[in-house]
Amino acid sequence: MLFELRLTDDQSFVEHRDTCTRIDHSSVRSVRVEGGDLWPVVAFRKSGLIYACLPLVEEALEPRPSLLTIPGLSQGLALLFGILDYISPSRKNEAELSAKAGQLRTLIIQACPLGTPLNTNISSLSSSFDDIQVVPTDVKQPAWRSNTYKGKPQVNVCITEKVKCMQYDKRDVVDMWQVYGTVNCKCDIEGAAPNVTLTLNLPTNGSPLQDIFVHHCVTSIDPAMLMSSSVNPLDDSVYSGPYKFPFIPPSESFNLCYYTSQVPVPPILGCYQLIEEGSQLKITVNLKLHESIKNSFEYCEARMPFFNRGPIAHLEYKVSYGQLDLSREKSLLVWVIGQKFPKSSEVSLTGTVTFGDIGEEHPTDYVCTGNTAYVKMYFRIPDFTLTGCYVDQHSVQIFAPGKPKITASRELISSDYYIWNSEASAPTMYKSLYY
Amino acid sequence: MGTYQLCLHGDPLSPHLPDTHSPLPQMDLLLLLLESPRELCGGPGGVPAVCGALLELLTLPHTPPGPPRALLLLATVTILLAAGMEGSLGVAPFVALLLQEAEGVKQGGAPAAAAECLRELLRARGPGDPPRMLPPGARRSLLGRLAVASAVQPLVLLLAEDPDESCHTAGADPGASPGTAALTAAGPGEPRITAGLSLSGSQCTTSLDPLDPPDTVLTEPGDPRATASLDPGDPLCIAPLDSEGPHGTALRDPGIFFHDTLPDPKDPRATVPLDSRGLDDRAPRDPREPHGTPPPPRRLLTHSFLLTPAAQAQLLWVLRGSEGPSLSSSPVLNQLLPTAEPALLHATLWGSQGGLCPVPATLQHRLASLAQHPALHPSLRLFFLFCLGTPPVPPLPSHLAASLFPTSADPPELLLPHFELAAAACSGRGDEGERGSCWLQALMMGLAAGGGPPGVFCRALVAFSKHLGGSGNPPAELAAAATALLLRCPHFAPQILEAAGGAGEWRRALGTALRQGVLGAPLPQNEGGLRGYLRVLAQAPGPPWPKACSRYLRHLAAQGGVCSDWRGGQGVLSAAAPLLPHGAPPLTPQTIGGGDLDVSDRAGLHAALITALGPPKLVTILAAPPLHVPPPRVIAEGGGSALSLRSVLPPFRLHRLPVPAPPLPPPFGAPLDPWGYGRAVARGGARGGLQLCLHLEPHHVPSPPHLQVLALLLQVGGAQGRLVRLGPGGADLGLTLRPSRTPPPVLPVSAVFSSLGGAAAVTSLPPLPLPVVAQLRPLAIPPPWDAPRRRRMFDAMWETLAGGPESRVVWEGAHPPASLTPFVLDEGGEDRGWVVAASLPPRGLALLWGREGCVDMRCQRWGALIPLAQLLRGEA
Repeated sequence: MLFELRLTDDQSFVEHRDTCTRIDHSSVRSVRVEGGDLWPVVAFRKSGLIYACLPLVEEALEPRPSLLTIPGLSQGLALLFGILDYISPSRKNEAELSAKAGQLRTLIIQACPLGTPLNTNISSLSSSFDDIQVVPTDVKQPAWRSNTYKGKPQVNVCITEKVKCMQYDKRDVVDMWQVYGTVNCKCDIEGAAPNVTLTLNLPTNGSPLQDIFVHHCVTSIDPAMLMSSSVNPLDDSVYSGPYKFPFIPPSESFNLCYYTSQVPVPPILGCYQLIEEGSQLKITVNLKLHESIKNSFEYCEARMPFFNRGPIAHLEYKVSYGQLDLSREKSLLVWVIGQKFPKSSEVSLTGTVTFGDIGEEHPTDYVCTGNTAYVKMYFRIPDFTLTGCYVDQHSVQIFAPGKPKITASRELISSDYYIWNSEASAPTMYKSLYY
Repeated sequence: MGTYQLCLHGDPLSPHLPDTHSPLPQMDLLLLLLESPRELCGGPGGVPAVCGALLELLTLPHTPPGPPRALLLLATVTILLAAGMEGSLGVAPFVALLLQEAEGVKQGGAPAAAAECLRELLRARGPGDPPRMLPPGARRSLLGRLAVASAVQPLVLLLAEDPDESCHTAGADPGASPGTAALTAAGPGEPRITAGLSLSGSQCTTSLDPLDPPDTVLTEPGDPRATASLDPGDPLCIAPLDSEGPHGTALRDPGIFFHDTLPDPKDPRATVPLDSRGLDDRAPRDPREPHGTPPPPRRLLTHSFLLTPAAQAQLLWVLRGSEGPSLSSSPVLNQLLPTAEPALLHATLWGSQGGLCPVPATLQHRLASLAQHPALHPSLRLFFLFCLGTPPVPPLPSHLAASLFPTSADPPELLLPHFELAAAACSGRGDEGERGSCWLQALMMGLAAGGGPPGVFCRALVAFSKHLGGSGNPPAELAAAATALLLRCPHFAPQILEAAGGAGEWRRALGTALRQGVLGAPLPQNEGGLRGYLRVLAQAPGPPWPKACSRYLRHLAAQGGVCSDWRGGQGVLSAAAPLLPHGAPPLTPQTIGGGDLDVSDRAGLHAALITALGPPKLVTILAAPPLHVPPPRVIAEGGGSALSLRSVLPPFRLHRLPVPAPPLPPPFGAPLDPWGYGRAVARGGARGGLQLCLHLEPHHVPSPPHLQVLALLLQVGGAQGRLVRLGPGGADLGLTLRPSRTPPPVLPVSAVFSSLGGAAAVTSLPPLPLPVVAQLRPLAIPPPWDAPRRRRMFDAMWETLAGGPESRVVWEGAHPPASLTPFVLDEGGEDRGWVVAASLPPRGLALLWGREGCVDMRCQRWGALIPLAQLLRGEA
């Protein structure tokens, strides 16, 4: 598998793996083993781990059947994503990760006791084997819900919006930014199948939500919501609400829905100039917080990595606000802006950098060659969304006895927020040429 | 759980059981049984005994409830299936036990696990196997269980998979247990079948057990009792969900599970309209459903909302071929389409009847949206994209295709599939496609200019050529970008060349640009650069430019540096070889290789061949012959000075001789040895390598044909040898193999040879067995392990192989043979002796223990002992 994924030390050209005629259109691979090829191996990488499984193919293998005729393909994929959802929250804590990996064995036996996946939501399974011997006592109780909570009803909702951005500060290249959100819920409610309805609200000038998809526990949604999509920008099928989601909540925390949105401006506008002058680089970074954005960050920093170069040997700089740090590896500058932009909403950095001789330990990158370089922004703004989307606590309806306690929160987090050097080429994301 | 004792002394499980009987080891043992059933049973012979032990445990009156019981059931089924015993007669009591447990009759049972076991057992039997069907009456009992809890997933799947038509056939079921009904399906004019619990009257043919589900009755056509309502006080009368609630009524209707005994729609005797059934009339009806009660599969489908997505998807696939359910007209579709569950959408797309969901427009739109949704993992997005681009899904409409165009900021694993989909979408779409093609070309140039890993550009170029086929010359910018990429990343030359070679009409121009780029670039200063440049000169499409390239190679050879050793010299000679037939002058032995004997030899060979044969015949001699030679036939023939190349039966045999290698041959150019004797080298140049001594023996002794073997190819990462002449006594050949990976036990071999008259032929030789030492691989032992620890590991492995293949060879030396040095775990001392352990593909270990004048060997297969003994005796 390591060989197939090109993770071995030997990077030489191997025709069947590296041939240019091969484009992987799915995560399915053929792995050579003694005695033949294993196929179809579903495998992908995430955070340094390889997730792989071998779905059962019940039809003849010669000639190879079309992948989409194999039910196990998507079921295997779903199982792997169930494992990923279970593992990934612990990926930074080694002890927790190995404890979870140890639990996986029993959980997978419950998820697919005899090979047929019955529940791929690994996080919802307990290690007590209850899920393979307990039968719901109520006809209305879904299989994906346990009926163990006793107490006052509580609902916790959190909207997390992430913003992606590619800014170039060039006339002939269009900037791109995109917002996508996740609504996470935890509903502690008694009963076999309590009904809950949650409504997402937008302010009058809010950006409509698009590309909405929901958790399988949602019982119905407005068809217009289903068709509100970003895939056709000329389409006038924009749906601006109400975004009403009736559902029977699972017992554990779950993502009720995901969406995207096209907001009119990026939260932070930036300009990055990097020019090579002799043996040194001159850098200039200007950042401006848009006036509509809440100026209250949990953290905000701009990182400037330098690839395919040696360590930073000399640095002279001037910042109008915040502080600049040099990473231990001496290949990254971190400009810590802090919790607030100044009153002017603008900050700047100028400086010169010189580099030592490059060694094998220094980071390399195929994109950032020559003067192609970027600033990557990292920030989080609590109690704020770029679309304006929020949950009115009074709009949450619970069809269960007792007065519920509703807690709602929201946040905006940066995700792949790049500001490219305007003095060199850069990868672009704009697609309007074809439209 | 406290009274539960899995350990049965005297049974095959006993050796594996811990001394303590705490629940944890018992659970662990059951888990192990689930994972490695055959191994824990001690082979096929142990299966019946283990099964018997487990069954005995299951039938004990005090077997504990809960997880251990569920695991016991699962372990038993696993062993049965692993041993292929699911169809044996002895399984019948176990099936009966599973049925009882799945029905929920048994207190403290594990009904869900039992149902899953039952499903897997029945599923494992072939469709033509009569025992596949559930016993008459059992199905209805199981349905009753579903009436209590609709979301018992294994039950739903079991019932969907096993349509138990026996319930619909005429005649009572003599084996039916008390409380189950035996029914006769109604024919035309015969009593109707309906369902109900509280009906009374002579038509009721079933006796009701308090634990039994609602049963069926026979009524006359038009009988008002057919619409009688269920007794609200009956525990089996499940109130439906509140139809006024926010969820509507579409998704839950427990009454569906009561209709197991309805007639098969295909059965001519079963003409009763389904909507005339009493119970169904009482069940809440979905306003979106058409009038008339759908058949049971449809109802299973409708209530699948209560299942997990995995089980619901499984159900959709199971129902795919069944009569009745049509996903496209089911309200369930409205619940499936808004989700991003891969299994559900896959089943929706492909699992519906007819293979394709008849709502492709909506589904296409959803899939296109999911294929680029930033909240999803790239592998998931890739899956949805794959669904979109795979026939028979219709071609994408323009607006969807446009939305899926890649950008240079996409990760490579997404960029390429998007690129190919876009290229395919642009094909044959007029101006719209032309604009898209321009966009893709611009993207390719961006990739070549450093917008991503070089391999991405190469693959994109091949995909572009495949779908949009460049005509005429490629844009100058594209050729320049490809050349710049080559010069920047010469180690990607194989991919760049492959891309250029697959670029249709552009291939010649691209090849020329690449070759020009190399000739105009500074000489490479490292091995990677040298290898890449040489490959381009030798393999780029288009005219070879023999003079310019030869000049460049001479310049390169004269430079020394990276060309002054074995690898560099061989590389330059390989690049020069294809130029020789085009009239390029050969490199002289004195100017290349820095004095390396192999390089000088090969340069001399080139020079001698030019002199002896002339350039035209060198085309086939210097080009690598195919390893798998077709059956003897004439490949190409010509007259006069043209070359005749035939594939013929081999006129000689190849044997492997024991080491040591024969003495070195005379320098090239020295008088030929009439007994034929030469030397060979292997490409690759890794240090060390596998020494082989070969002997070529002519078939027709004592008057063999005069032959000159020009090339010998062994399929082990490339190895070439040559002999100058094959005389009556044959010829010996010393060969060093430097395989880049584990060689196979036998090597396919082919040879190119020529008669002294000039006729050249290619032939396949019988496969060449390799010495066992070539197949040994060191064990993966952590480097920090010291000798005592390695010794302990060896001792453990030695004990493990006791009783298996074992042999002893006399050995006088105090140390192992030099060829085994890499595998020594402990050199030991006089008292303990040395030990060697290695992996010996295709399976198993090879362990050697040298002590007191002998070497003991243990392996996992008998066939390995003989070559190991030969190795020790110096015969291999």
